[in-house]
Amino acid sequence: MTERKTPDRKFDNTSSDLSDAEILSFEAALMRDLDGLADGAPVASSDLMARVLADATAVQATFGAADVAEAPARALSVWAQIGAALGGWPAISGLATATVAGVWIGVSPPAQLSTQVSPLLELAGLTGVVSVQDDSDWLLEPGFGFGLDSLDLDVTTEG
Amino acid sequence: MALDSASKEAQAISDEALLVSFANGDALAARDLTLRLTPRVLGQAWRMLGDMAEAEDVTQEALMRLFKLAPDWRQGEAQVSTWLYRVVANLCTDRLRKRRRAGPGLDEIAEPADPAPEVAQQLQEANRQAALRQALADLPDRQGQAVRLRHLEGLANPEIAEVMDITTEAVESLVARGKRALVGLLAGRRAELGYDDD
Repeated sequence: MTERKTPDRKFDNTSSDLSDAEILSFEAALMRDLDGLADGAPVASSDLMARVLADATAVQATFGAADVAEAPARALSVWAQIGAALGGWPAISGLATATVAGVWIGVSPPAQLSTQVSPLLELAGLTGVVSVQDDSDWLLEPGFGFGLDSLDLDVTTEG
Repeated sequence: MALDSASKEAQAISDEALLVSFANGDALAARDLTLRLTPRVLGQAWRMLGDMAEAEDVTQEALMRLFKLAPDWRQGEAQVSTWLYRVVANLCTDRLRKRRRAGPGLDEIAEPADPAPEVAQQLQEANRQAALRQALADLPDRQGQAVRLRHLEGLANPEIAEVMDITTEAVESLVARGKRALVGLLAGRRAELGYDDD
């Protein structure tokens, strides 16, 4: 920052008429009065407080708007849209579990299933809808190593 | 004066912590910052400018700058109070500089009319204050700022050094030169201001 140089010289000339003792005494008096200027601090008016608080509130509101603005809506992929439509990952995991369970039951129905369901199917006009050859060999194979060739599906309908 | 528990609790929170809460959207922090900082900033601005309307303008502007800066405030790097001292000092210096350019100088200030005896003392006090403020305003910017921070704000030299971003030795030099300059500016008015009688 550029400082004005001339005042110092002018001041020195102005005070050169005083003796050192007078200068010291005058300086002490000035410093005493200068410190006195610090007394009697003004009281902030309620109007000023209200204006500053309004500023603070207004500025703070822009922080919220900025946060929203910083999170723009991103374009979702097709799969993401499908996932969102189904209800997100929790729903998809439930759906997958149900699907696997359905496949498993279809592939390896409990022994009682055909005997319990067959009468109902016959009532519905379906006979021998599905017969699964009971081959306990593959059912008991470890590691779920079953294959479709172990199934003997025979689907017939009446009429 | 004894402080109640609420005041103690409020004072226990640092300016910086309040500012961070403010940046995080805490409405109470906005209120607390306003209540805490407005009088402090107004006091500094008023002491520097000696004009309430201008001091209020500076207060509003300085705090507005602080509020806007809040989300980007780098914690631990600077104190809020130091930052405010600097901003207020600079804003006031700008206004004082404009006054110097536009307003009357020290020599052009009209002589007061002869006062009635009963108010002579008060008037002399007021005249001294006005003369001192004017002389402060006429000091070179950096000298004036250093003298004000030292004598009006009561800051220690290291604090002034931080506010003005200079060394402590430079502060000492500026304050010493500022005092000499004040003496030089007002020496010719010693009798008028009643310093000969002290």
